[in-house]
Amino acid sequence: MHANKKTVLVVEDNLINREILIEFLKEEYLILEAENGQEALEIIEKRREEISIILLDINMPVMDGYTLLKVLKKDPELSFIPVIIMTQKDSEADEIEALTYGATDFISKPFKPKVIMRRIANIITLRETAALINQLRYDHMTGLYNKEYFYKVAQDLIDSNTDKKYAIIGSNIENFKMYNETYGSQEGDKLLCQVAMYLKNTFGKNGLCGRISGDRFVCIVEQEENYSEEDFRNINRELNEKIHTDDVNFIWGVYEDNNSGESVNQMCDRVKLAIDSIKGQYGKHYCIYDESLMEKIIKEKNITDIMEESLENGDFEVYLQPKHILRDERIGGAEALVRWTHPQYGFMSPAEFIPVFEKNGFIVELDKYMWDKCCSILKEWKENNISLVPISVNVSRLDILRLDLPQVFKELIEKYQVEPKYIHIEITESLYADSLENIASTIMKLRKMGFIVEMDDFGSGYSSLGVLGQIEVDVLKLDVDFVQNETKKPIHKSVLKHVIEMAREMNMVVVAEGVETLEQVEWLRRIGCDYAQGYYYSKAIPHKSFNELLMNTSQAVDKDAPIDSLPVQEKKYFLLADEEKNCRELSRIAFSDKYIILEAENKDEAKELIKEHRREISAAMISMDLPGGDTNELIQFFREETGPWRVPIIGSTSSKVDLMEIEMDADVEDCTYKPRDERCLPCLKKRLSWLQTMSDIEEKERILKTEAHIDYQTQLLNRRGLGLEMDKIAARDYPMAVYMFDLDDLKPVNDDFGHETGDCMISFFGNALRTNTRPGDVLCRYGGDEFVAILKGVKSEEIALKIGNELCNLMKKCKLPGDFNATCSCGVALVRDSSIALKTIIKQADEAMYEAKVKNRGKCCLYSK
Amino acid sequence: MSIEDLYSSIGGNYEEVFKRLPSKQLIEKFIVKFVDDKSYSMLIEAMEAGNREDAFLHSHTLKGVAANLGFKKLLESVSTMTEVLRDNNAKTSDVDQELFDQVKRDYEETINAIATYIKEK
Repeated sequence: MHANKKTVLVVEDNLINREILIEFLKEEYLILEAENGQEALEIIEKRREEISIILLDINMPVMDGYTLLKVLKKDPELSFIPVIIMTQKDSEADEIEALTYGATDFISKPFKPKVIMRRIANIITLRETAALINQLRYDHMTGLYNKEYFYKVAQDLIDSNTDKKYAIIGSNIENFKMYNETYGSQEGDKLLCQVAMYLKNTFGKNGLCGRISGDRFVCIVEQEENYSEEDFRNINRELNEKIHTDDVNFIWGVYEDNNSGESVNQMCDRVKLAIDSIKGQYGKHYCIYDESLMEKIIKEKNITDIMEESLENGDFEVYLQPKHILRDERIGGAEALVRWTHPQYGFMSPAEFIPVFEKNGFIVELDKYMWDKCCSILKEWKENNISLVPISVNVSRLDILRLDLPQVFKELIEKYQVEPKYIHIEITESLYADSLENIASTIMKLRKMGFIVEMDDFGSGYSSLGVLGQIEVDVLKLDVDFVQNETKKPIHKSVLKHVIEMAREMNMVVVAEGVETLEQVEWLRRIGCDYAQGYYYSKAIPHKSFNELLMNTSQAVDKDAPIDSLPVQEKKYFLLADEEKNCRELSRIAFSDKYIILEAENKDEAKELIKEHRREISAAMISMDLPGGDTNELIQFFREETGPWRVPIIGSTSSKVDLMEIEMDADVEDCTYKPRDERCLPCLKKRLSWLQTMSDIEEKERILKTEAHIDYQTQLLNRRGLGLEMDKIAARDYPMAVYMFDLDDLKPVNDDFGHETGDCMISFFGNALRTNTRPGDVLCRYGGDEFVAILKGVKSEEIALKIGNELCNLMKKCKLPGDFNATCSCGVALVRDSSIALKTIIKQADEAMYEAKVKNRGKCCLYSK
Repeated sequence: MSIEDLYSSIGGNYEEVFKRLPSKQLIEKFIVKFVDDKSYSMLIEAMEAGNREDAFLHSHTLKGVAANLGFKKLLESVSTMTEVLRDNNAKTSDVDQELFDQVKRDYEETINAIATYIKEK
């Protein structure tokens, strides 16, 4: 028995009737009275929560019973209050009408109190039980079934319709928490109700809907064929329209019942798994549960369970993929890539585990491990005298958000004592677009510390150009697809050429990724791309294998290309124009095994021969001292006759003349001293083989200009090339340090050990210069044993001197027979702006170099007035 | 006069009423109240004004009270009158003068009987 009395509202206009009712009601109930419908309404509105039942007379003034009933039934909150109509026995019409209007029951006059009381009590109990049941069945806020009851009714549905196929569709509001936080929980509740209503209208007609928890809903409907992404996108659109918001993101999971005998409970669990698996994935709005999903989830779990232990055990390895310098094919760097041998699944591709780690945050630990390992590799190289190449490491979004990158890297280089310039930090293009503010300052700090920053996947789609306008990086790594698509086009139709020009202007180096064929390599080389990385060269290899690769390659560069490597071909003509018989004879010996020699003693003879054989001449050696006027005129004539191809000419001169001047002015590929005896022959042959190799293989395809600017032996610029580069120097390149290097003792070495050894020194130094300067620096083989180097951005004399000394010291590593110590001396002049002509600076450097030779052999000397 | 007598004199049955409202006190109370009940006077007014709706309302109410209190005779005549007035298209003039008079007579009778009963208490 309830402690509190329930309240009855008596609506009856006649006093006596009313009082009779109240008389016997008041024992059990609290009474509220009203004389007519209007009064009753007022009372109801005020005290609706309290009223358990209404006794209502039909015939009343002001507002009669039916009218009141109508009003009550319209209001959803009031319509559930039971109403007993008081009528008179002999009007059946009244009774029927009463029930039609929605009365719960009727009692007739004369009143029979016992009956009335019993009826009231029953009705009240019934109502309360019903309300309780509703609470047990329905989710109060949305009106959908609650979880337990949904399972029950859905199960009943399936069980009683064994011939039909059903599907469970679950939905979840992905960013509900954020919505609540932004708009408040009242709006959040409103949203849920709107969603519930939509679901009821859409799926509830032929199915059932329930609210499982918070923002998770589930419906059971008859199976339709083929749900698609399109369907759910449309549903989402409709939903967003109905709710008048763009903010809300719905994701869906579908479980198709295949009569596997699972309970609705289990099916809903699977739907939840399906939904969870696409959480956070842009572009995926729905997921159909299938076995592979379960496998995927299990796999993910297996990855997650073991990842930390694996990291500690060192199961993650650093593989390195080499980057090659296109100019000379040497290895100029490596990209570090992770490989994992999972204890259970074995060798796993990064595509399988990286997304999992990015989702759960482990990527940060893995990346830190990789960076640490790379630094230790650099240290290992240093200790084993392997020449260092920079290693590029990858940085993910979470790393940027969670770590103080400059601090982390600073600690690493301190720990391993490596120089920051050997660490290249690759950040993928999309990250720049996303979190721009964080990144800009981080990059600036890293670059200030000396690290090199690369923009990875350039051209893969995000706002590259806009980004480049806002941050400075050192290297652009062209995205694989970008490269592969562009290299299919003819050069003049490709944007890459302009990208590279832009990169040059902005002092950036360009690396092409995904290079797979020789054609691509040549294409890229031609447009001036600096580095290439891809399967054409090598896939990523274990770091030990990479070590070997490094060691072998650097040895290969020191060796000279053997002459026998010349392809066998039919003999071609060689023009030999020299006024000295001795030289002619020697040269003939040098060249006759490969060529048919056309000899000329003077210009006229030479001209005749040229006219006669023209296009058949594939190389020439012309003495610059030929009598009969300026040799350059002859050379020009030669060019005209043998054009458009560029036929290599070796210009020769007697040893008393300055080679410098000849190469500066003459249009020849190479310049050498006239051969005096047999010892010169190998050298001559070598010269020619260089010339010829280049000429034969690449001549027809290369851009003519570039060829004329390269010194074939060292692959550095020749003096003509130097001239051109000097013209290109811009204000931002200053201040610069201009060096003049001279290989000491080259002549004695040539004399004592032969030109082969001498050439060895030359090649070695050329290589050393190249490896120890930046791609933007200007390097030139100025003369037989002289090199000019213009290093941009050298700010002080101390630094210039230091670099000069370092470069000279490199010569010590050159291994010569008989333990001969090769040295190199150099002079350096610093230039701050374009007010002094570069030619003058070179002369200054030259003077300083001479001083070094005298006072400080094997070292660098600074120019001073 | 006993309450049973009262009822017999107006053609009602006390036993029956007692069955329904099993308290003599209660019945007495309401009988007394009946005297002040306005339904009858309002019915007369409405009839004189020719207001069928109100006349119906009040005769209906009076009918209910009569039924509740077991005033059988009054109940009968009022019932009949109520039915005549029920239809929307009816007019007060549809009520037979004779019927109306009967109602009046029954009412007077009942009132007088009650008055007597009260006086004698």
